[in-house]
Amino acid sequence: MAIRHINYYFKEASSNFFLNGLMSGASVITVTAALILLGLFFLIGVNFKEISQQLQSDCEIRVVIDDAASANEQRALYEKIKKMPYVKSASYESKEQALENFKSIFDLSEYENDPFEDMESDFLRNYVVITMKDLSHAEELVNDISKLPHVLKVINRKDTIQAIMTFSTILQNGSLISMLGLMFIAFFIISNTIKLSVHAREEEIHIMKYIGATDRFIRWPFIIEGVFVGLIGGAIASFLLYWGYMGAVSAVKRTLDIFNFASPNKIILPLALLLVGFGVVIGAYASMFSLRRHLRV
Amino acid sequence: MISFKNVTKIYDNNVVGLDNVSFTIQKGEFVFLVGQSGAGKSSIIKLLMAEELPTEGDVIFDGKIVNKLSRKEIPYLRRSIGVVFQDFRLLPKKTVYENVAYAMLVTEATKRQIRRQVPNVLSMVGLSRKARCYPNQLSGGEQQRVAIARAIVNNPSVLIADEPTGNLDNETAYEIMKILDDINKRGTTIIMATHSDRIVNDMRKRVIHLENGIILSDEEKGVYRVGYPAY
Repeated sequence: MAIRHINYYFKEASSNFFLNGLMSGASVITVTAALILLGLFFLIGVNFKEISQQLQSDCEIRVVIDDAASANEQRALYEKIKKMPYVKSASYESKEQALENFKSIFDLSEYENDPFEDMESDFLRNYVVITMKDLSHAEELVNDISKLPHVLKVINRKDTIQAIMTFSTILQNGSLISMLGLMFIAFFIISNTIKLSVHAREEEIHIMKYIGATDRFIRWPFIIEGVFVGLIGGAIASFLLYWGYMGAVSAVKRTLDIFNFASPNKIILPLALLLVGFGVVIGAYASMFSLRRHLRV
Repeated sequence: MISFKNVTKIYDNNVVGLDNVSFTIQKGEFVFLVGQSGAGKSSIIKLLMAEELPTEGDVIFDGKIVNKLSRKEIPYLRRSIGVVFQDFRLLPKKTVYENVAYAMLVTEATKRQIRRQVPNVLSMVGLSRKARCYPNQLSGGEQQRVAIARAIVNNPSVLIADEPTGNLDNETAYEIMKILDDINKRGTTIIMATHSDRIVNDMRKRVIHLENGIILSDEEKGVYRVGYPAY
């Protein structure tokens, strides 16, 4: 882009954008609609990831410690487990603590006397409770822990872990494939709309060619106009999705507060970057692509 | 200055636009291209503007073979050739001033040069007072004068006028011819395609008569011969 003409290109692009208001409006609406669809799948994908991470962190592995181990040996075992790869967090749970946790599961308010009053913690053991960074390595970790001294048993819900892993993989891959498909569709919708807008100004482009305008001189205002369309479409789509997402998350939380959804404030930046970035690139490319045929005069 | 050397143009649909045509136009000449529709007048203009490539032969402008110019060189060729069309082809969303200035802008002229030159050419075609008007606010004759102003604003060595009076009444057509004649007297070569025998016969300039893609006659101070026998 010739530096001395930048001002002209921007002026020309903005004046064309407003002078061809109807076509510009149609392009912006199409771009916005396509980007909203794309953003919707992005939000679904991000939340699937969030929920699957939540399910993974809720899925504990319990290491049963041999009673014969001394307090120091138990502490050493706990420290060793804590430092093992794939371990996100580890906590030591004594028999007494395990009993309290067990009791807390039940609602005892209806009872005059504590029905577990006489219950001893002897039937329980000391445990190390682990949550993992990545459940796909659960089997490997369980094998490694089982080989450690003073470990009686490692309790892991293998089936649950497997189900969560499969579910999470399907959902994440599904939303990724949908997003790629939508990007492809959005590209065609957006480039066709911009093509129509360029076609409506075919005569204008031919006149420019006849009076000796270079391809570059004709192309740049159109590219910048395409960028405007993408930028505005991306910004509107981001705003509408952010606003809709905030509403949807708070509505779901009011009725079904079991999952942690990705925070709207955390998600807005990557969402806006994706939509505006994609819109701008597609807008510019579609303008360039649509102009090619008309420049052969 | 302009030479067509054994130029043949056959279009994709096998229509023969020109058939082994040769002629030369010197600097400062005023030449009429006459003939029926499809005679080859537009083909000559398109080949000269590098809008089409000849099937055979060479088109030479200022020593350069037009049909061998690269895509990037074509805009620079077009800047030395002004064009005026029958349907004016003005940019409808730009004012008279902007339409004329645009032709300078594409040649990368400075704002200062544009501010100096555009009022000059608008005055030359008698449109100084209409500078802020849009094309749809002008009569046909005025629009054609804007098109002429746009065509000459870069001081081209050649001005091509493709049926410039075709959409105008007689009186306006003669006004346009007067402007073209004045431009020619300043040294610009004029090539004008026309159907108007009255204008051709009144002007008494060089006339190249085309029929079915071949030159029937090429006369200095010629006239428009209707019903010329075909070869």
